[in-house]
Parts: sequence; structure tokens; C-alpha cells
Amino acid sequence: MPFELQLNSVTMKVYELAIPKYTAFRVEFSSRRQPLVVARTKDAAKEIFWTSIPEGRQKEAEGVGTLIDEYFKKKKN
Amino acid sequence: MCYYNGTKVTKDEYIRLKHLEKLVANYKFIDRDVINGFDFGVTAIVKPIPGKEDFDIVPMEWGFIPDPLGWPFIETREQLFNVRRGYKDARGKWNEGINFLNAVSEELVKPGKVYRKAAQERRCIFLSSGYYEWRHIFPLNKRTGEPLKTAKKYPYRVGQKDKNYFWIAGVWQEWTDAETGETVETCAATTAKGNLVTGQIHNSKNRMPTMLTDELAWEWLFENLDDRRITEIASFQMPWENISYYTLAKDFLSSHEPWKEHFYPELPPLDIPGAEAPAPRGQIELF
Repeated sequence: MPFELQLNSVTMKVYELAIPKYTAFRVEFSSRRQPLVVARTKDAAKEIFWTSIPEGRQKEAEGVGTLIDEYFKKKKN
Repeated sequence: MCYYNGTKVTKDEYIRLKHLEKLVANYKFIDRDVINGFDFGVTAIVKPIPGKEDFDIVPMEWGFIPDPLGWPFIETREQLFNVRRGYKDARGKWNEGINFLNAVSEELVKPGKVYRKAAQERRCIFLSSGYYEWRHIFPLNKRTGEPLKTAKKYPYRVGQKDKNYFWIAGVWQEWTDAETGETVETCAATTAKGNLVTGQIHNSKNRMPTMLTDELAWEWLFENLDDRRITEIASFQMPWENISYYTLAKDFLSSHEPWKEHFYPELPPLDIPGAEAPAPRGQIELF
């Protein structure tokens, strides 16, 4: 089931992708922005970061990823 | 070292991300709110990779098509359509349709049964976020107090507590259309006897899909099982305490938000020991 995020009057509908072993989401925007798939991954220093799948939209992935993290943090509390 | 999206990642992580790209490219079929079995559409299936303790998630046609060399001789889409929907044979006798959506666990490996070989050799897992079932309630006749003959049907969404996704045991079969040469993978979900909760919801048949624990799903996919164990796992009854459920609007199948809870004031709660009847409320938003 999707959940919704809001930022600057843009609504994002976020679908968790049921792919075992991965944390990934498809994000649909109420604006004209193309849907985006983001995934959590680790860099060479084992630091977790968000990236776009496929490559090419790293800035957007980091922005949306942060919102998703905040959503789950709030949900947990 | 490699770079993904400009960030330095290990080779392992790079391969993992490339694998994820492939999965995402094929993902649309997974993320659907409602898959109606009677549409015989594709659904997301976890299928073991031969020789490895690993799996792929693949689209399969839900509605098992038996081996064309075995019973009931389905070699073309036209024959399949007839078998699924029912048809008149050459003598004019009506044959009821068989949809092959669900396989009864207790009969799965019995000799002569259509699913036997698939259960022994081609087991798979349905990936589900919830399934839908209708509870039949027979209203009382206002004059006589007797139950009416026609039931009112209330749809429920059933899932597993604290899990966004859960496993349902299944079997699969490859089938080739003799006319067009088109090959498809098809599947059926196994069903077990309903537990205290699901039995009251699907009260017309007292059945439930075989929801598996992680351990049983692993065993179902990867272990060599004899007929006794296949039947045992396929008949596994997820404890009723693990089941989540709520009612849906009657037109949920055509709704843009089919998962939305809908409260029916006239509907008696399920008879669950220790459970209190929920307080009346209106429609609620899940998120």
C-alpha cells in the first residue's frame, strides 16, 4: 500500500517495491516530474545512501530518500 | 571499485544495484493493488533458480494450464478458454468451467491429480500484500425470524500482521500454445483449511490460501520434499493470531483505492475469543 509525502505543494505517492533483499521505492509526483525509483545502498566506506535506479537522478534520489527516512522515523515514534 | 550514480561503491554493491535495475524494469506487474484471479492475468511469483539457493521474481499467468500431453488436453488458447469458462461438448452436454486458480492442498499429490507433478517438481511462492475474500451473512426474515436463502456478501482484505508482504505456496507449469507457439509460465495457489479467523470470513467454503512462514517458504522452494511433506506444508494453517483483516467497500474492485477500510454497522464482528467488538466508526484512511 502506498503512502504519501508532501513537499512544496507537490504530493509524492510512494510505493514500496516488494523485492526481497532490497529496500526500494517507486515515487510518483503530482507535478510533471517523471516517476522515480530510489533504493538504499552502501558506498565503499559502508555508509548508507540513497540512489536512483537506474542511474542518472542522484540529487532527486537523495532528496526523496531523506523524506522517506523522515516518514518512517515519524511512523516509528 | 566502481561508481554508481557518481558514488564510489564496492564491486559487489555495483552488481547488486545492476541486478536491482533489471528487477525494477520488470516490476510493474508486482505493484498492483488488486489482482483478480478470474482475469487470468499475470502476478508476481518467486521462482527458484535451478541448482542455487536463490530465486527470481517473475510474472506468471495465474490460472494453471495443465501439461498439454496430460488431462484435460488443453493445446490451444481456444480450448483453454472453453475449459475455464465452461462449454458444450460434441454431444451437447454442458461442462462446468474449471479455473485452476487454486489447488486444494489435501489432494495436491494424490495419484492422477492435475497438480501432482508440479507439486513434486515445480513449486513456487506467490508474493502477496493481502488477499480478498467474501463473508456470507444470511439476514433474518423480519416476519418469521428465519434466515433468508440469499446471503449478503461482505468483502474483506486479509493479510499477515506486521508484514507488508507475505508468502503463499504455489505450483507452476510451463505451457505452449500448439497453434501460435507462445510459451507461458502459469501457476496456481494452494489452499488450506481456514483457521479461526479466515474460516469465519470465507464461511462459504472454510478455506484460506496457504500462507507460509519464512522458514516454510524456504523449505517449499529449495528443499527436496517427499509427498508427505509437500502435503504437510501445503496444508499449513497460519495461526489465526497472525492474521490481520478488515472490511472493504462492496465496489472495491472498481475503486481507485481498493484497500480502503469500510465499516458496516449491521455486520456482526467475527467470533474471536478475547476480542471486543470494535466501536462503530466511519470510513478510515489507512495512511
